Amino acid sequence: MSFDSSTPRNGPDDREEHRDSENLQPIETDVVGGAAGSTSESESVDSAKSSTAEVVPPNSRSMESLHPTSLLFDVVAHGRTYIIPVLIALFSAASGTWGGVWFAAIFFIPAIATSTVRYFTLRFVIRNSELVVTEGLLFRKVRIVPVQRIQNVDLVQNVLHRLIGVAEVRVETASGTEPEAVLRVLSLAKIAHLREAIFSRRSGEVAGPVAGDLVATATETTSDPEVSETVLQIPTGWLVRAGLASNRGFVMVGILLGLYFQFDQDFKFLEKWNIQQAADWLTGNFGFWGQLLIGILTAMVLLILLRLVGIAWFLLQFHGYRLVRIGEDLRISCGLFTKVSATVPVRRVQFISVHQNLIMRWMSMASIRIETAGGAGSEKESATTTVGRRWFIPVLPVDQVPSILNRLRKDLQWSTEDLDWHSLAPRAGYRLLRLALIQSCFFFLLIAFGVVQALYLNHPGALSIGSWWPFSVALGVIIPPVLMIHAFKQSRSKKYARTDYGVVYRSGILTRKTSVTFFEKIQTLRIDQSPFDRRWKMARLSIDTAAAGPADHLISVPYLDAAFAKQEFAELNRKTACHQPRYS
Amino acid sequence: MEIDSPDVFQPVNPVHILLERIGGAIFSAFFGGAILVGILICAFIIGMNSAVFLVLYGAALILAGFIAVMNFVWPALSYRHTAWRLNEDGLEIRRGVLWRHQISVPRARVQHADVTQGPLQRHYGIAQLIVYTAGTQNASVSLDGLTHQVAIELRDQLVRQGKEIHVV
Repeated sequence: MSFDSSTPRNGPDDREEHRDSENLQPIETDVVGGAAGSTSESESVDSAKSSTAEVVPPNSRSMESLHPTSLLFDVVAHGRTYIIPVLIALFSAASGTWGGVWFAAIFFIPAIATSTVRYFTLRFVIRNSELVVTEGLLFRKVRIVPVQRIQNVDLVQNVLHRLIGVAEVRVETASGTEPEAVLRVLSLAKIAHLREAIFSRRSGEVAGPVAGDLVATATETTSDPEVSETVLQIPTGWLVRAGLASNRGFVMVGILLGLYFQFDQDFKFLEKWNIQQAADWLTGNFGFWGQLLIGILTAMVLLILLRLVGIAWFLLQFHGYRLVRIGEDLRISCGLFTKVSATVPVRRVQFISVHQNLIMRWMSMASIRIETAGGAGSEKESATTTVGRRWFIPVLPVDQVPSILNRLRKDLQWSTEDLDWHSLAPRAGYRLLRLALIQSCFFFLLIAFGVVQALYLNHPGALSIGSWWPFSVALGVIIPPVLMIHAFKQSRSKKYARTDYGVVYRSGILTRKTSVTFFEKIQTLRIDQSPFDRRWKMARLSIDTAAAGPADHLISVPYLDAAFAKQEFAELNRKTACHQPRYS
Repeated sequence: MEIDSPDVFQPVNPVHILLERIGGAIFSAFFGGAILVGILICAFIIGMNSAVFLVLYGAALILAGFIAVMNFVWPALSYRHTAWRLNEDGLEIRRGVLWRHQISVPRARVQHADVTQGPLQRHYGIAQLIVYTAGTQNASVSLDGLTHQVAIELRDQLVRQGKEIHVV
């Protein structure tokens, strides 16, 4: 249960400070992931027999091992990594030659050998509030992760996992982008045991050495660490609507097209669809209006198909979405075939972002993304990061956003209307319009060329480069207004506000993103002025946090009034300095 | 201009201008050498007296002159626009001649700090301070051209202060 809610405002802060100092005692240099991310949280003692022996007695009977089916899932995972050798092997086996199989074996035999060694040597245990993972045959590796530093114990369960009753476990801390330990795979009973051990110890840690007056509340927490309460369940209807609104379908079609071009030779049958013949057939059998109608119908069918793909993606990914509060933290579980269970350490949330694209705004729905320190490079994003951060809440009605955000931060009163919004500098709109006008000049030139060509098309001396003038005139007529409208909208859409907990920034014309970060999470502040900015007396104010990217939004406000930006810079500087970071 | 209280902001060591000029001179010596070789090759291929060669030669001379002037002027300009301040909030750095930047690192956010010196810098007692935070966009902030002693002092202050605040 959350003790934050019941105690007065000063209480939790005090306690958290104490807890910070507690956590900092054993390790001097505390690093919250990101680019600076040294993995100081975990010590790895490589092949040092003497020190290994001190830390953990080798071949300890008390330690747990992986599930026997681990080897199978490792092979499946390798198969996915080396998909091309596998395909080659299959093709060559089908055609009766064994060369491809040997080729695949070059990749597979070492991989399977390491998996086997891993299965027979990997042992883990929770001892003295530390997770100890040992691994290796020739080079023994001992990894020690203090339990308080563990942010998440996340699970991934695909269909095969579910049939056997096992899951892949990822243990993450704030450091770096890689999980501290990946246990592929454990039985569900062992996972429950592991989770219980980690989370009870983590909240129980407060009770130990901390001052006496805190023990009462702490024991209250430890007595009931696994109280769970469902915060949010997403019905299928919402997911369908989210799929309708999303452009996932386009992404999928892009992937499919990429595959098609990659395996071009294998799809020779597609060449039988002769496009020229089809066009001839169309023009032969239908008049202009008929062709137009067929065109529109085809476009509509395609659009519907794309939306269906989007809906399918959302259903696959988020079917049965449940957000549960467990102790202090939130846990998400969802997925139709592959089930994912991700933990969100609430106190480590760096950045919250509410996204709404145009269609979602029409349906008054929104999605919420969050960022925690580390654990989320955009490059090698794990399934649990995708669910827990990028799609923290894939879809929910706008009017439920405040209550969910209030779960993340008690002091976060989300009412965007009441905020003290500051727009861009008064002349920003004018500046952007002028920029758009300069860009439009190119398209005006296109009109001019088009007109000249149209006039002299039949002139005997004219260059015969085809009659492209309708296109150039059309481009010149359509694009400049679009640029102008974009400039105007852009100057109106960006808004900045400072509240008593942090900073809120809103931007985006079609997809509106509203993000919030907190004074104690701000890492650096920055003002940039280009020569043009100085001419217009404007500046860009940027706020850097440890957020690594899944929220897909940065607080970097361009075209602010220079004087205002500098005043805010100084004010934020002061506020940031007096709010302590909580790195625990 | 936009510096509100110039008395509080401190410039870096003026020797930095000299070092930048030396560095620039070394760089342009290599660059100029390469251009010279290019011109000589051209001279062999198209002949000394052709008009193309003269144009090339002229362009190279103008470019060399521009680089020489910039080598001399730019370090001084950049020195004039570089300043830093350490107060109870943290370290604040201003720099940039055309594109101006103002960066602030609060004390409690400093993860660690480095002081580095090149061979020339070591000779003149100049150093570069690099401050690391847990951020992602500006994970490290550097300030070049400090007196070595000042850099060491800044580093110690920032790291010590950061730690004190952490443990409190």
